[in-house]
Amino acid sequence: MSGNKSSANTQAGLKSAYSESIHFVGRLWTGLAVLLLLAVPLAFCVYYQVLPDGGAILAGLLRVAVIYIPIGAIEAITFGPMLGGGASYLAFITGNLTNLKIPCAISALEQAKVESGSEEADILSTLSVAASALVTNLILILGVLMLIPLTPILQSPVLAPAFANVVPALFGALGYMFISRNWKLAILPLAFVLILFIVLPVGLANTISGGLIPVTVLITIAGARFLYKKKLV
Amino acid sequence: MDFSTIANSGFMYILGALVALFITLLSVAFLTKAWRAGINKGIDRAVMMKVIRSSAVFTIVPSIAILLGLITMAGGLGVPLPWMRLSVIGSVQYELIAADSAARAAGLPELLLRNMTPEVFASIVIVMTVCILAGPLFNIFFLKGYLGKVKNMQQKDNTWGKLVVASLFMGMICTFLGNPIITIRQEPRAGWIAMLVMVVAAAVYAVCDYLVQNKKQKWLDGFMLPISMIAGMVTAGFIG
Repeated sequence: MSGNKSSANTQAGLKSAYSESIHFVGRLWTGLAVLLLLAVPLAFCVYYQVLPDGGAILAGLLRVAVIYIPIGAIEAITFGPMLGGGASYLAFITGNLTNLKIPCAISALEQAKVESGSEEADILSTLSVAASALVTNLILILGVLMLIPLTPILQSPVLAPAFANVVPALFGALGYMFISRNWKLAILPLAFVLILFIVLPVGLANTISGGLIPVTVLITIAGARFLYKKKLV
Repeated sequence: MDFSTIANSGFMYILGALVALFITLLSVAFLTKAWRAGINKGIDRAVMMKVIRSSAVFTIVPSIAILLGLITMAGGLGVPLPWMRLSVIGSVQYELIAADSAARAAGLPELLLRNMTPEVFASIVIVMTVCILAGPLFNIFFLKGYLGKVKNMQQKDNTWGKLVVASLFMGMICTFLGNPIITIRQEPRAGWIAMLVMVVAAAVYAVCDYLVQNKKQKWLDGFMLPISMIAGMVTAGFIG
């Protein structure tokens, strides 16, 4: 009995130690990444002796920041619990979240038969996103080195439609993966999105589609709560 | 001097290489840390290797699409800046919208290198950089506490906690499933192709899943997503 208790304590200690250290490391690397990002325009200005136009920066910020700063924060709130600690820090530094890192982590957890939210899931998500980031990095380096011979191939009329449809292909497969396992949860958000995209003026629908994920997530959670209370899921 | 020479200068490539080096070191650091934590936690090495291998394979096709985005952006910003931007934080959609908006705010009619001056270029890079920082800054200051609260909720009521996480995934996926509707309304042919691609990818995934679950074709397990995606994309290539 006492052995079991001691083992449980050790597990809890390990869990807490991993969680603490991944947040410390994550914050450190994220801080370094922010500094590196800010250093790029600074290095450009210093090297080429350029003084950027303050008015143009302000005007640009007003156009872009009002949309993307809230979206960035909402994305962190929405995607954090999906990815877990380590993978969140890594994915938010390396980017390409919805088109690559999150599907990659989802698929990895699905194959490993591990549920999101556990410490095991955090570890496997981190392995998945790290491997993904390394491969993208390598492909971009190779692509930049071979840009001249690769450009006509990648932009050829045969391949262009295929690459224009990476995201539909990705979400078609993921859609089956998730909806087949929990179709009741999908009814409300799918109906909401379809009705919204059919009813709204097309320009408005296009504009809001990029920032719609958090709203759809809230609606899905509300639907899930209803189904849970009615013991239907 | 033609601005294209500056945007594609050796100096800019050196900056790009430094960013790529940073991403490599960062990824290796997290990979090593997670691997060691997995060993300590008793996760089977074979499971961890499978996750790494399947994630690497899965990443190839979307990464080629990202490379295509880099080529698209190169006409307006040169090669090194899109290389840096697509290696760190951003995505093609964000970078193009941010760069285009910043360029127009600076008075350029369109985002093209021939219109660019060093001052405008610097302004665009600053706008693109500052506006993408919300997510990482949230993570630095709030992620730990936020995830702690989510975990507490899961521990209080495990079934409901799992449903909330499943709802997060489902909400994101359903939003993307609806996107072809907008494309159909704007460009019917492209929209119907996107819809068909989704259906083909879903159908191929269903077949792969059946083979893995019922026909013991376990080797397919790590390749179901890439195979389904490629099937969908090949369909688009044939009819596009």
